[in-house]
Amino acid sequence: MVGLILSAAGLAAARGPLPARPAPALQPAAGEAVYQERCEICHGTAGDGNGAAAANMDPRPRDFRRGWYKIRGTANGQLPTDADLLAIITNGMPGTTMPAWGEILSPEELQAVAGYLKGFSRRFERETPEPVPVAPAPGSSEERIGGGSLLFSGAQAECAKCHGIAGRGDGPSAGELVDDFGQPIVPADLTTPWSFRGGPGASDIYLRLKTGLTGSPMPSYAEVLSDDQLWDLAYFVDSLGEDQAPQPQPFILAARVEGPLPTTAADAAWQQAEASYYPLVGQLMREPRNFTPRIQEIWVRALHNGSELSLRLEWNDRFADQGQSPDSLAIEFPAELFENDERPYFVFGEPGKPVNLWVWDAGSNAFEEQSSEGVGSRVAQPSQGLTGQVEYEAGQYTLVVARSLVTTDLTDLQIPQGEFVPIAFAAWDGASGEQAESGAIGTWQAIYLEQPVSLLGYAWVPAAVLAAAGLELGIARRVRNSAPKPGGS
Amino acid sequence: MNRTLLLRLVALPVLVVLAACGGAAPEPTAAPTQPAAATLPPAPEGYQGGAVTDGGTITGTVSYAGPAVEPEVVTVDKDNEVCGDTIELMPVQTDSAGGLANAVVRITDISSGKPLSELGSDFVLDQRGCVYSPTVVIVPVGAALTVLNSDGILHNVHTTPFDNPPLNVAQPGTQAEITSDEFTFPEVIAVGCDVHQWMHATVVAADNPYAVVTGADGSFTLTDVPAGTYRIEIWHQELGTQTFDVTVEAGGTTTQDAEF
Repeated sequence: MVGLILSAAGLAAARGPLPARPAPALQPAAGEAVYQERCEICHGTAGDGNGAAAANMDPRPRDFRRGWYKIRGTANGQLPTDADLLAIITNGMPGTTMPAWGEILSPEELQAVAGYLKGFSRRFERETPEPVPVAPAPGSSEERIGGGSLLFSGAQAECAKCHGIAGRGDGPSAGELVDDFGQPIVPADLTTPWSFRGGPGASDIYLRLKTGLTGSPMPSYAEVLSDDQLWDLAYFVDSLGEDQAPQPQPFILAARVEGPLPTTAADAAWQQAEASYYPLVGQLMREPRNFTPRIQEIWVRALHNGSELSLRLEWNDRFADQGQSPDSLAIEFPAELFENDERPYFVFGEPGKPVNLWVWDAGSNAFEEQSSEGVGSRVAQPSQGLTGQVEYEAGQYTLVVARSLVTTDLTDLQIPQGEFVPIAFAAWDGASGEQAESGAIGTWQAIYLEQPVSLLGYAWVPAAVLAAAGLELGIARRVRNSAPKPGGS
Repeated sequence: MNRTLLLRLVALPVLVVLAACGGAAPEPTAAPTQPAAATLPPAPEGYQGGAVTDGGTITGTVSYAGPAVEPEVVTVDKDNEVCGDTIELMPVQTDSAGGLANAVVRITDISSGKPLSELGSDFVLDQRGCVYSPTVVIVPVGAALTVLNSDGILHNVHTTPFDNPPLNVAQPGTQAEITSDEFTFPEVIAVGCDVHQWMHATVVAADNPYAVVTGADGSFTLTDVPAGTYRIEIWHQELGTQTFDVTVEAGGTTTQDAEF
C-alpha cells in the first residue's frame, strides 16, 4: 500500500498541482508502543491532553489533535517540522512537567514517537510545514538592547501589555487569559528565562517572537517587526534574566551592622547584604496539596545589629491580591533550637515541636507572629514584636521585617549569633486561590548571624601562632634531647 | 513503452485501489491542461460554480422569542482612552419586533450554483473602540480575511479553527491592516483578542456562495438558487443551530422564517 500511495503522489506531481489531501500518515507500531509507555499517562490515549495525570498539571499536557504546537521553527499557525517535534521531545519543556526524553529514549524511539504524534492531527496529512527564514544573529550590544527595550514598552510591539513593564508577566492584559483549549494561562515572567518553554537564549527568543506560541495568547510579530527589530527585542528580553536558575547559597549570611537597621526596601544599607536565592515548591506533604505553585523563588537578604534581625525578601507575583484570597508570605523558624541538627517538620511544625511563623498578609497588610504545630494549627503568639513594611511594584513584592533577637515571649525563638539557625519560607499567590497551608514552601535553610567584630576577638590568632611555635620548639628540644647520641650506650 | 503510457498503466490500479479505500483519495486531475486561472483556489470539493438561469430565491426572517437577554457590561481596565470605561456586549441582538441580527443562514448541501465569487471580494473585520465590526464575517474558502486596526493600539488577531491553520498575530497600533492566510476548509472559526478578552467575532469559511448574515431586523435573502430541495442551516453564536428543508422553484420565491 505504501508503494501504491507513493506512486499516486508521483503521478499527481507529474500531472500538475498536487491535490490537497495526500495519503494518511502512517503510525509506526514502535511509536505507538513508546507513546503508550511514556506519553499516554499525561497526553491521553486519544492524544487529547487528558491523560490520567493531566488534571494536576499547569500548564496542561498538550492536546495533539489540532496540530497546535507552541515551540516551532515554522511560521505562525503552521505545523511543526519533524525536527521541531523531535527537538521538543528530546529537550523537554522547562517550567512544565514535560521531561527531556533524550536522556531516556533511544534516537530510534524518539523518531518513532515523533512520527506517532503526527497521526493525532489530520492536518499532518495535507500540510507541509517549512522552517521560517532566520536572519543570522547580529550579536548583542547596548544599542540593540536599548532598541529592544523601546519596542517592548512602546507602541510598535507593546509587549508590556501582557508581560508588564519590567517583564514579570504582570501587564494590564495579564489577568484572565485563557489558552486555546480554555485553560487559564499567564504571560511568561521574562526575568526567569530558565523556565522558558522553548529554552532561554536570544536565538530561541527570536524564534518565539517570529512564530508565536500556537495555542497560547502569544502572537507572532513576524508581520509587524523586521528581522532587525526582532533581534533587538530578543536581545532585550534575553537581558532580563539569567539562562540558568540560580543556586541557593549554603546559608543566608546576616551581616552585622552598627546602628539602626534599614526599615525600607530601598535603603542603600541592604547593599551590604548578599542576596540569597531560595527556591519554593508546592506544598505536597499534607492535604490540601498544591501541585502548581505560582511563586517559584524568593530572594533573601539579612542584616542584624546585635539586638535586632532584619530580613528583606523579594519575590515576583503577577497580581497583587488583597481580597478574599490575599497574597501572603511566611518566614519560619523552629520555636527552639535542638542539639544534633534536630528540627521540627518543615511543613509548619509538628506536635510537640512548634515553629515560629512571621506572617505577612496582603489583606490586612500587617505582620503577625504565629505559632504552629502542624498543618492547620497556626495561632497568633501571645506577644507581637514584628515591625516591617511591604511594597508592590511592577509584578514584584519587596518585604522588610525585623524582630528583636531576644524577647520575653516564651514561645519565641531566641535568635543566637554565631550559630546556624534553621529558617524556611512559604508564599501564597491569592490569584491562584492559594490559601491556608496550600501555598508554596521550601525546606529548612540556615541563617547565620555574623559574630560581633572586636580586636579582642582577633587576639587569639597571634596568641595561637605563638603557642604553636612554643609547642613546636618544645617538641623539637625534647626529640633532640631524647635521641640516642652517636657512639652512646 | 513511453513514460506517459507507463504512468497510465501504473495509475489505473492505484486509482481503483484508492477509490475502493473510501473516497478520501484525491480525485484524478481530469484536465491536465486546465490553467491555474481560478482566482479563488482551490475549488471547494464538490461545489461547482457557474451561471444560474431562472434561479429562485429563499427569503425569511430569523427572530428571537426567548426571555429578554440583558447586555453584558464589561468594565474596561486597560486602554480606557480608546476602549472607553465600559463596553456593552449584546450576545443576542434583536430589534423591537424580535428580529435576530448576526445569525448565519446557509445552504449546506448544494453542489452547484452561482460562482463562489458572488460572496464578494473584500472580507473585512475592523477593530474599532475595542470591539469587532461586524461580529460575523462570511469568507469563501480560497479567500483571505483583512483585519483593520482603527484603534491605534495593540490588538492580536487570534483564531481557533479545527481544520484550517490557526492564526495568532500581533497587530500593534502602527499596523493598520493585516491579511490572514487564505481559508482552505469550510468551518465556523472563532476570532478573539487576548489583549482585550471581551472581543469576540466569528468567521464563517464558506464553500458555497449561499450563505448570508441576517440584518438588524433578522431578515435574509439567498438569490439565484437553482431549483431543487435544500437543507438550510441557521446558526447563531449563542442560540445554536436550526435546520430546515426548503424547496425552491425556478424563478420562484420561498419564504422560510425561523424562531429561536
